[in-house]
Amino acid sequence: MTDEDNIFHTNRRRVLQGLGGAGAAALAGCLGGDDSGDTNGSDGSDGSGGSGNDSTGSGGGGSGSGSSGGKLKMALVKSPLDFDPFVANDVPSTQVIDRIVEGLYTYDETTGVVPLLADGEPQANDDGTEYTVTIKDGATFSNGDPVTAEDVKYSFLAPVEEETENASELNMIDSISTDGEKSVTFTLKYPYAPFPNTLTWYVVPKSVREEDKDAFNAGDTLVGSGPYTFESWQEGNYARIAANTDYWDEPKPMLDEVEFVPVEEATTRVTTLKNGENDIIEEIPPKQYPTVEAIGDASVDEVPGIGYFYLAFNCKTGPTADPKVREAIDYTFSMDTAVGNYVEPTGVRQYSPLPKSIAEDWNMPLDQWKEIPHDKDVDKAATMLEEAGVSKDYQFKVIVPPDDKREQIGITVSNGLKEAGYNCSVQRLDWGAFLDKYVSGDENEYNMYTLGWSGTPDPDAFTYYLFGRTEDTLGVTNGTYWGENSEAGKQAAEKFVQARKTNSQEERQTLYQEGITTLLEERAHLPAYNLKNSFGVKDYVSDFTSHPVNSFTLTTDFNNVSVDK
Amino acid sequence: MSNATYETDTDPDTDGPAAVESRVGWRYTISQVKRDPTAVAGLVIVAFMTTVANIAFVDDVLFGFLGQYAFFANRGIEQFVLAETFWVNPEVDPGTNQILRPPVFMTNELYPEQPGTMAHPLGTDHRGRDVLVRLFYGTRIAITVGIVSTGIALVVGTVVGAVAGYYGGWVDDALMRASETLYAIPFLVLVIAFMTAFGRDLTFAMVGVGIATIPSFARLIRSRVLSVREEDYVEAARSAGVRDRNVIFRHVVPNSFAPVLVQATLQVGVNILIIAGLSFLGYGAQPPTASWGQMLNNSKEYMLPNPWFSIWPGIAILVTVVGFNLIGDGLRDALDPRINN
Amino acid sequence: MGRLRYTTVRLLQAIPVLLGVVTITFFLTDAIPGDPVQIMLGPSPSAQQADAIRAKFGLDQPLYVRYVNYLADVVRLDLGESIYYGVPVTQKIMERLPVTLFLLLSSFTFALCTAVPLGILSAKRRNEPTDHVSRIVALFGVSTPSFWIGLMLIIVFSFKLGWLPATNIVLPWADPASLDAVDPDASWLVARWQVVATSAKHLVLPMITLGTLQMAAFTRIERSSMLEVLGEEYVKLARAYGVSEFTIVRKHAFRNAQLPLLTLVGLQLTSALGGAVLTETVFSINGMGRLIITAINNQDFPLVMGTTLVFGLVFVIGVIITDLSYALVDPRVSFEGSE
Repeated sequence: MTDEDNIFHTNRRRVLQGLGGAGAAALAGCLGGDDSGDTNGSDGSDGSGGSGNDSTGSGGGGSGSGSSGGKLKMALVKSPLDFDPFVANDVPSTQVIDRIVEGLYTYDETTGVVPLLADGEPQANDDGTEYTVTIKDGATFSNGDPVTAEDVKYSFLAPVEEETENASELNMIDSISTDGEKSVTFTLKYPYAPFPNTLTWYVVPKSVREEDKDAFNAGDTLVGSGPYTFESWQEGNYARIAANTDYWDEPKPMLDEVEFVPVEEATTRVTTLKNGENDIIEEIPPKQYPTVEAIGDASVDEVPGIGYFYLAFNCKTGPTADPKVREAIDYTFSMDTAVGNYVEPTGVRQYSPLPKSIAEDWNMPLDQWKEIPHDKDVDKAATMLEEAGVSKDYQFKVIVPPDDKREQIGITVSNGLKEAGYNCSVQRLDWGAFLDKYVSGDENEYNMYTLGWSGTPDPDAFTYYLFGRTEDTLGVTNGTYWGENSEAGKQAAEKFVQARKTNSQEERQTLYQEGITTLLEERAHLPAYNLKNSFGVKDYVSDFTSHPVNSFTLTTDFNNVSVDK
Repeated sequence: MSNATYETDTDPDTDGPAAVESRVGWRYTISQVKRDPTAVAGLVIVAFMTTVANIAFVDDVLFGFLGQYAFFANRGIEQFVLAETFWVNPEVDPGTNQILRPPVFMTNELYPEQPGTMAHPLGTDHRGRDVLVRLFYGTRIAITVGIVSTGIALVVGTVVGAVAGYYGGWVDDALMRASETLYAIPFLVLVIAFMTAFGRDLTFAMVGVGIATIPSFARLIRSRVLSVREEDYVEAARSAGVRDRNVIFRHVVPNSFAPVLVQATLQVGVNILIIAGLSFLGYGAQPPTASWGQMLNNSKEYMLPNPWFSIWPGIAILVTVVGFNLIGDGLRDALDPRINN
Repeated sequence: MGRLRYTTVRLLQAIPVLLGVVTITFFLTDAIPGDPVQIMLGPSPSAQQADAIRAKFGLDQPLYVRYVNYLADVVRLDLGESIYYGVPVTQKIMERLPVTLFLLLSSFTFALCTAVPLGILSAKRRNEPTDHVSRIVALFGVSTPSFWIGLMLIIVFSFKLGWLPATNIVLPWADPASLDAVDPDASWLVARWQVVATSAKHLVLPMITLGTLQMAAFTRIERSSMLEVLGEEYVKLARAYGVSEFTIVRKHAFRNAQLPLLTLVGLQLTSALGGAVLTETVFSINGMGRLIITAINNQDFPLVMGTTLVFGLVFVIGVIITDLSYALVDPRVSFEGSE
């Protein structure tokens, strides 16, 4: 295989995060916690990842004897499009698929990876290029077939062979060998530290999917090993799943049926929660929290997701290529105030590319990073801009995607620059035009942009794609071109690449810490906020839990939702 | 397809106001309009809105332009100098936390700690800016887009309609099929596609809406021209060797102008509504420019915590469009004595 | 010329119009910046993936070839495959069109049923309070942004009062099994009744939102044409003969007054189709309006083309139906020598 095959091209879901659904979808990975094998130098931080998960229920679990928990109606932001997990590449689709299809591993209540179909931890070799997993006895798909090693091999290879949009999630895998019915060994092309995350990938029965891929994708023949089975779907109207009465694991689902309906407008979603059209609604916008709380028989269930939203600079051309100018722009406004006004309480202020839970698990110097951004000081900004020789006639351009929160951040910067006496315009672009422009590095297209990113709970996901200087990232997912004209930036970018191929957790920690500190000081990005996965939940729904990685959970080891109207 | 106009009560297929108008003259029309209290109310509304729009234009666009030159800048002229001197800047966020306040004397039960204040008589928006000042400056956009887009449609539509009606035959067929084509695509869809292709900017919104509404004028003018064409004086001019262009624009068009004026006045209102709809869908003025449609779009997410934020821009649009409609109705009644006794 | 022949001629005349619609949309969508392949695959698709998709949708061919190919496909009633949804465009349209047509027909029915009595009443009681009220209602109706009415209705009737649902439309002929409001054990008749009742509840707010503008426009024209007819000589004559006012309106004035209204109904279709885009957005209805916006935003060329073409077709057919109904209202209208 050539080097090009190693391309980790990103996918739509990550860049567009925040457009459609709450938080990251299921493909995210783990922290290199206790599960990641003895060669991975884990810091054993399982379970300390997510914070503030105020689940309404009593941690269900146990061995429910199955259904009778009624029917749940849940409003998502958008309609699912695909049901084949290898093809699906948008948040709502994965939100539905996650209930039907399981992986070898899954997440505990926070971001720790725990075995699901797998029996125990994966066994890794010394240089971290080989992982062996055994499948649990008794694990079956909902059609009664047992989950075999062959199914697992197929599930991890097919997306790459078929070049589906999710291929990039898996193309660090070189080959897979099976030993008997239950044992699978993954051989990687190079040591890839976050690999245990990858093992949460979906497992589907080979024979069923191979028979008719279109029917599989349309849901008609979709089969997984999860607690729910696919029932029916009408694009834009609803998607229904029903309890898998023969679910192989415990607990059995309490709900009989779940219906997902798309409601795009936030105001309408809240309205449907109040008048009882829906039992649960996704994504509560900032100013709707009091409204939801005032409903009386509903409350908000939320947890910070694994995401990162930021203001980025064009460090290739134009005045913002100068770190002094970027620092001056930092002085023109207060990100704290902006996030406080336009994002909280739907999101939380974030001071580095790493979501807080990851940064804490990796012992990053959060207090030090928090001190880096400046408070608003327009006079200072004006002086610095003048010193840097920026002409008063220069027309700064901020481009923002069609999303209100990011637009607000863009407008705040623009207003700040105007206060400092410079011209600045904000352009809200459609996704098509935005994706075309933000990686061009052309000062006529943009000096700044606001965007978001989500990924696996590993620092790699938040550094490599955004600051990498390899051909698959620079000008592809990295529109800053930071490091092109500064030695410090170049070195930092190199550290991020090195860190993903390093096996030792300690070394990785050092590399990330140094790299991120440099980028914050050089202000390639001004980190802004992280969104919460927030849900409005009627009181008669019990045990519903938002989840940092999986958006929410219905039936797991730690919760089992039921409805009692 | 028949020749009726879009959204007017006139029925140009019956004998027309044009003929009547040309006999009695403008002075009579104006005196009729003056005697109609509702039309006067319309005039008052439109005059008020236009004045506001002009002040906003001077303060925003003209001063913004002049402020780029040292000569004016040194004399204190810059964008929004009037607003900042006498009021507050409509585009810059206030430093304090003033978000989503209700109107004066009102309390929002969800945010009881933030009652309405005299400082913001209509409340504040999602960025804490004063709603009243943004409504004021938004008038400029509404009036401009309404009039400019109608102007585009009027000019192009008049030419197309006059040429089609005067020449008849295949010219007529071709032009009328073309205008039917434009009519067959819903305005909103046509304009959204147009703006996605060329730019999400108000300029393109105006041009797009202008193009999309050409057919209503083309049809109207054509039907008038068809009836005027056979008049003796037109025949006379033609046989005297006057060039076609001159016949059309010196004789035919002026005699068709009365119903067009009625249509244009009503169309301004319609176009204001269309552009508000476009802004509501996110195809309009770029932020932070104040525009009513944009305000409604922004208010979508804040409607439940602060419904006032959605109510005010809606009322502003309503009142302005009512103004244009009242004038249009008044003009029509004055021009069409059959209905007006 | 018989009615059938007339209809055929009109349909043939519609062909150049539809051709024009296709042409305008084709070149307009082509001018939209951005790469549909990139929107589909994210910012960095692999070269093979991108080429495969380009080839599949014919995007690798020059513009004029694509145009000619598209026309050829349309003639064969093949609208291609949607890039965004990955299903045939016709399938998507067949899913969405009934919803929009249902909404459109309901709101026109609502508009006509309100406007005709209101207009007649207004004309009969000219300058009386009834007239003033109806004129003010009509004036405000044509001056209010429809989406704003929708927002206000949602706040009041869905949020504050909780009487009516704020989302979606349910078709009255929907499968009872697909609705949760329907009791699964109910008999066929009861189940159908429950579906229709649910459908009605969902319909009310969107119907009013979309129908208000038409209602107001229709009332205005009904009033003025009624006034005009009531001033005609033959009406005065009838009155002089002592014919009752009711009979005058019913027998003589009514039919003649409907012609301008009919014309307007046909022409309002195009603005109502546009209004449907807004109404569907406000109420999260999955109709043609939102479909076309999704298509434009995702540069799904085949879908943009297909939906616009269908919009054009709906408009053309609507106008032909209006023209045909002239004959029903006014027996004097024949199709001899019509244009």
